[in-house]
Amino acid sequence: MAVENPICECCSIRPAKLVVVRRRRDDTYRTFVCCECAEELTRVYVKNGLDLDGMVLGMDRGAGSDTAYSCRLCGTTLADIVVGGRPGCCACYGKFGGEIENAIKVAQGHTLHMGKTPER
Amino acid sequence: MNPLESNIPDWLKGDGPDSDVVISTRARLARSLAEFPFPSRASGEDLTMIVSEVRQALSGLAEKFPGIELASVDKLSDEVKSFLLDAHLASVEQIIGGKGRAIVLEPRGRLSIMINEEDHLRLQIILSGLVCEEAWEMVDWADDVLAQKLAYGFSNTYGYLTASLSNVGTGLRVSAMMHLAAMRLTRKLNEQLRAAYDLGVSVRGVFGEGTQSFGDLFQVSNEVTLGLNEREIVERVRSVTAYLLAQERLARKELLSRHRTSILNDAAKSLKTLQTSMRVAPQQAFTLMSSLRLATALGFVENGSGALMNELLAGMRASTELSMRVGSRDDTGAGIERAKLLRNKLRSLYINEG
Repeated sequence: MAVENPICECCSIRPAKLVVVRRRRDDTYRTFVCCECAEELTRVYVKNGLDLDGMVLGMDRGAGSDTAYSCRLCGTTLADIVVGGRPGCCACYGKFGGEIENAIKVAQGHTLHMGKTPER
Repeated sequence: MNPLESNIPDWLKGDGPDSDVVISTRARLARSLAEFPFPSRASGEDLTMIVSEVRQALSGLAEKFPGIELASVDKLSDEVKSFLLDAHLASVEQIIGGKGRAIVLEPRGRLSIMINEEDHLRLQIILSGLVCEEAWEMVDWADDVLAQKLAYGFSNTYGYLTASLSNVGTGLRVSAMMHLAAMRLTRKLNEQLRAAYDLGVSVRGVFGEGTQSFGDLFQVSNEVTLGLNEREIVERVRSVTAYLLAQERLARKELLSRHRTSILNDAAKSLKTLQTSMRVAPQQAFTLMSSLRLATALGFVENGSGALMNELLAGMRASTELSMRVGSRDDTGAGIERAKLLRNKLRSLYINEG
């Protein structure tokens, strides 16, 4: 299920093209912004020394709603993952490798599993 | 013994180490089955097949958890659903999720497995007191048993694949539920919670938000599930909980030496209100019960016990959460029932000034 393009949360006029992701404590905040407001927002964050975690993820709606760029098992699109932060199945992790890795880095600050493996 | 009868689960009995402050320790693993979409994207047929696969994998668990049973959530009575919420054996999402959701329970309430909640499986061990290692070892054992028969979604890079990116990796969340009333009363709570945050854990109110938690109940848990192995996660939560436990004990000593009369006065007022009220709102009930639980731990309440205090604090969860989260704003009926429960359970208690 593809997600509609939201309106920019800063100017409330232009359609949002980017999502700015910030981590604070254990919560992740996503702000959907147009390109113009993203530039201004980033400038303000940097000026005030706020940690952006280096993350500004492109929503790329065209690619996001393209069936060629959706998971063949569950139909999840890139936009679904960037907007909702949730893959639809295990195969999404392989399908959207780079994007998922960025999103995991934002959510957890790490990308490498250090724990146990299944006993089977 | 039927696990779906409303027995009091072991963790509420208050007999674990340090359970005057640490009410319970929980270790939870999120697991998915590789070949099915996650529950939010799965069809009804998928959900049924997932329940069936898990049912077939359960037999090995009976060795350590005799009497284990699986039940479909939509076939449970409202009474049993309330019990599962009160006992922290199921989430509100699981209870209201509808068809295709199931839960695995054992009579002592230590192990529960939610099937088709956010992930295909949520395995949980909950025990009384501060016992992080023990809880982890039990849930790890159950996980290994299930892994013999279930094909988990797993990646060598990311670890166990889950429906939320905040659980991917070990899928492990270790948490301790703490009663930190004395730290609040001695105005040390905010400072100590900030110190805990800096040590890499999350501290949240069990009911309510942030440091405004109703009932002074806080949950300490690991912030991330990646980048650390399971033992490191367990040790991180254990050490921060032990630190907060020591601070709460110090605060209780301070209350005893400098504010004894004030504590006795608060407890007497709380007990009288709870023994005589005909209707009690959730926030009021939590506040009064917190005062009474603290006085019980300090030895000022005759006929009171840690088990009773835990049961009453936890026993308000179902009606409170359901009314808060499902959207019902009218607490009148629940408020009358809550008051009746409290009056009945607390009628033989009295304050002993020692």
